[in-house]
Amino acid sequence: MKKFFLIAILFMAASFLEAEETINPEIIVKDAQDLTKLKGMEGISTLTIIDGKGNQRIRKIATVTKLYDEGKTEKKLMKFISPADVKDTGLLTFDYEKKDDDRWLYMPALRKTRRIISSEKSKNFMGSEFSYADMSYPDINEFSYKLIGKEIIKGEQCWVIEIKPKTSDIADENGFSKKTAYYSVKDKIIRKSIYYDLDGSLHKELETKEIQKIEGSSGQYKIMHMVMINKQNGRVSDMKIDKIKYNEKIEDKYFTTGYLEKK
Amino acid sequence: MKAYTILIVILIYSVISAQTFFEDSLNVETNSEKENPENLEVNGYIRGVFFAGKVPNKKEAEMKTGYGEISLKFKVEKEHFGGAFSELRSSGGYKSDNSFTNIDLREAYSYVYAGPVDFKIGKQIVVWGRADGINPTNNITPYSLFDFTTEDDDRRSGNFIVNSTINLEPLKIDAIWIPFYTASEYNIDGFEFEKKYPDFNLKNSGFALKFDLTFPSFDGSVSYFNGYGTTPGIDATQDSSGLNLNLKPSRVHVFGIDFSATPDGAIGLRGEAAFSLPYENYKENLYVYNPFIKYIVGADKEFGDFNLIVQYIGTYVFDYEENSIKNPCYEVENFNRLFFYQTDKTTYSISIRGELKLLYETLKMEVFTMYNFTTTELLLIPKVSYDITDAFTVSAGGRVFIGKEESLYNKIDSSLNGIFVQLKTSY
Repeated sequence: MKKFFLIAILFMAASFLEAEETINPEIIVKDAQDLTKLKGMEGISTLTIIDGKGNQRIRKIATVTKLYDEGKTEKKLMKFISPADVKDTGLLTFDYEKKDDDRWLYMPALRKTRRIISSEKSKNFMGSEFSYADMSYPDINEFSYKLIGKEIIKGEQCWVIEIKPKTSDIADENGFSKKTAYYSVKDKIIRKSIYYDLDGSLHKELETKEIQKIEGSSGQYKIMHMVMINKQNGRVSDMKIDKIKYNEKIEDKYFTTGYLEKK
Repeated sequence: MKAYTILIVILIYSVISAQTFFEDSLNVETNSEKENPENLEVNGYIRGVFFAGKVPNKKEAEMKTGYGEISLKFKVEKEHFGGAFSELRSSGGYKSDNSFTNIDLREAYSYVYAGPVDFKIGKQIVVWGRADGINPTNNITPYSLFDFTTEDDDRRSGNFIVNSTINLEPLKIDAIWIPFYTASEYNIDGFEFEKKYPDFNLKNSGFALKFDLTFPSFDGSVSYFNGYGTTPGIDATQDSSGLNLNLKPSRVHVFGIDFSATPDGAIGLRGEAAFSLPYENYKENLYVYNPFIKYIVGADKEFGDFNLIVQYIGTYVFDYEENSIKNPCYEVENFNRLFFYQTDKTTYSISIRGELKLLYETLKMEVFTMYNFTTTELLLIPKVSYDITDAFTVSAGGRVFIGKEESLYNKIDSSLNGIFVQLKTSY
């Protein structure tokens, strides 16, 4: 009888290990991405940038997004509501799955829309610790993925996945040499991410503070609150969605340069 | 009858299409329905500016101007039907030895949305063209070169325009009617001009059309302008009191094209060209320039926090002839040729704009430079600005024109060369 139990336990342990081995980290990352893609959304966010001395800069942003091409393209319009010196500045992005984004920037002082280069994704977004790469969906194929274990993050069991750019050019574009990301086993949504700079030193840490399951969607989630901490200089950037409305019937008119220029 | 039916359908469509949460949120700062039922939004800035420049005909510096200015911007939204916008600027200070107070209603217009048609009427500023800094297709509203200002947008001024935009994505059509003529300001040291501008008359009104297409990776437009140029030429008339210099614009056709593209996401390409053809005979009228083509092709590239735009600018003047010293109006014609960049049959220039953003975009350093290989003239516009905190910025910069004797830049250097410091608070 004892022998039977031992065999059964060994068999179960082996099958569990085999199951762990068959988990494809790339699929986890892809699923996590797909689960946060909303067919259409409108929202207001507050971006608080805190420097090493504790000084704060606060930006309010209105955002509208819509998925096109069966989810392969996300069109996003962001308009700055405050502070006064950036009010009416607008950024229109066509975020493609497999090629560089198209981006147009409207600056009220120029009174015209300028098509801007999108390959420099490592640039910080509006002076924050978030980069443009953090604000858009990356091309899954540009990175390699390795499952390195499981860890509990704030009571949530997470897969720990090491993500590395496949080439040095991709690393340069995205501004990191390696990223360790923690995805919840329960819902596959990212809980934490640790970034290493191009020299391999610890650079930034992203923490997901609040996640909301979007009512009316087909099981989609939205990260409502996230914080990026720069471990090298102590700066903190806090991005919080204050209001959100899921809306599959967003009008196409928002994703035009004409609308971008509206005051 | 059919036209009326279409109009009614468009209006009904615009009425029934509800305003979305996103549109509401754009006014979130001021729009609590209970507190602000009129959806009135007020913002603007207050700034102090000091300019120093060059003493005419001497290699010495002098104070040019110092002033304080308030800008009041009002915006009223009437749900999804439309609204109104205005900007009032008031400034006071000293210019050379004289004190001044100035009130300028820069823009004031109302707009209505009717389905795919946006309709604006009133005093407004319109800017066309995809090239950087030099836009030969931009002929709708005046641009005054002769002011000491810290920002390029300050040089623009509004004129009364009836402006309709039809949005048929990816096509956008702009149709503009300019009933009254407004000229760019001329303030050249040592010159007095009488303004001979077109009367308020329907036949003197101008109009413009632009067909704009936007695709992923490429956008561009073709445009046409028909009206009096906002930059007048100088005419000379003789009477009993002697020779009088007059500012007189010529009516022109301007055919334009422009584009911008990011073929691989790493390099941006842009270009713009316009063919200007005056109505009047340039051989018989001193103030009328020769027909010409101006074209610009350029590329922009980002290197981390550094952005670089390089452009090549060419001009070709049709029927070009050397100005003869025997010409009784040699001086005036020479001045017009300088002003309209017609001193040579072909001219070639290069412009470079470099912009570096540091300290998380709070420190911006920018320089725009343009060198004309034909006339060997150089323009330099450097600027440094630092955001002390949100909406509170200190900046310093200048504008330097360098040219050999008898060149345009040499003639205007004491009027326009200057360095400034500015402290600006936005609200």
